[in-house]
Amino acid sequence: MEKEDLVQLKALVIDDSGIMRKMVMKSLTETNLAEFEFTEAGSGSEAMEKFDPEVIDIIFADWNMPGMSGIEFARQVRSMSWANHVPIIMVTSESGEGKQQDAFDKARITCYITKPFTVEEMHEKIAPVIEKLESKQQGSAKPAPAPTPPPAKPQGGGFFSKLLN
Amino acid sequence: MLTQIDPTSEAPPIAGSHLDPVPSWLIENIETSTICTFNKMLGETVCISPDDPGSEVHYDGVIGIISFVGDFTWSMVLGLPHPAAEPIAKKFAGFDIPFDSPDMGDVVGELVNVLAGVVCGEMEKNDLKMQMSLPTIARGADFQMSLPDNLIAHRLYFSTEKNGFWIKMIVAKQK
Repeated sequence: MEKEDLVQLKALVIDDSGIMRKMVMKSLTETNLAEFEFTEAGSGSEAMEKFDPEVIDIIFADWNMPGMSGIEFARQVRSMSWANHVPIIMVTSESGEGKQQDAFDKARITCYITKPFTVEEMHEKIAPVIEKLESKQQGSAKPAPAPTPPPAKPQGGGFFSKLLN
Repeated sequence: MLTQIDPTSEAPPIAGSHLDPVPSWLIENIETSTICTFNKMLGETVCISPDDPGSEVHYDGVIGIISFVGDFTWSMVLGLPHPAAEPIAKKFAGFDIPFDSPDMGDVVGELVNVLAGVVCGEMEKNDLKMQMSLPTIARGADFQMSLPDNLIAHRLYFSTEKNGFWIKMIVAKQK
């Protein structure tokens, strides 16, 4: 798909490892699912400061981080009625099924990706989420209604002049 | 598919050691988890190799440590010797990372963190629940890791196509 055809998304990438943030951003770009504009955060608390639900379309969060963890960040976002529509993708090394279930049940995350991941795995997991965002964007970007034409001036001899007279 | 853990089994005693051995189920888990995970992360064949205990004296390289608490308490150390660190980091990240850069610490932290996640997941399948710590990184030349008397360790050496690295398991002595 050509770059100009891709949906434009603002993504918040949260990981305490700068390298991992770079790798997540590189993989996301390589999925060619969207044209991403990234905002980075090194912890849950930094992410909380940078997170604006009016601006951020999707969040990618690591689980284990110093200070506020990714799961705590997700819980807090889900508790905000004005922000809980934003999809949260956990990208974490926590591979246990119990942990994954906890993330879905307690933090109501959207999707779970375990490290290490390939671009193909990332593509497969997030494609449905991106599709939903894309249709949502298309739905909210309905063409503006055509401007109402100015009322026609009554023409002499016409229907309106007869009516007015 | 990783091997099933038998928590009751024990490894043969470590050569030259009179200490209680590190459980063999842990050693087997680490061996299979490391091979699977590093094969995927590095995109090349990783296999177990004979260890060279001398290589740990005057060690030159970078190490990442993660501790586990829960049903079984232990620590895992990943060691990348200096010559292996840059090629392995490049394979993992996809771009050059100098040995002395802060990014090298990030990479080793992430490598040990990912491996720890896989190990924890495998343990969970066998009803052993553990929490893992954040990674701690140390880097330098001519250094040696000393352990308190109440701990024992077992080291596995792995080779890639051109390089090698090791994993050390550290557990408390059983009384």
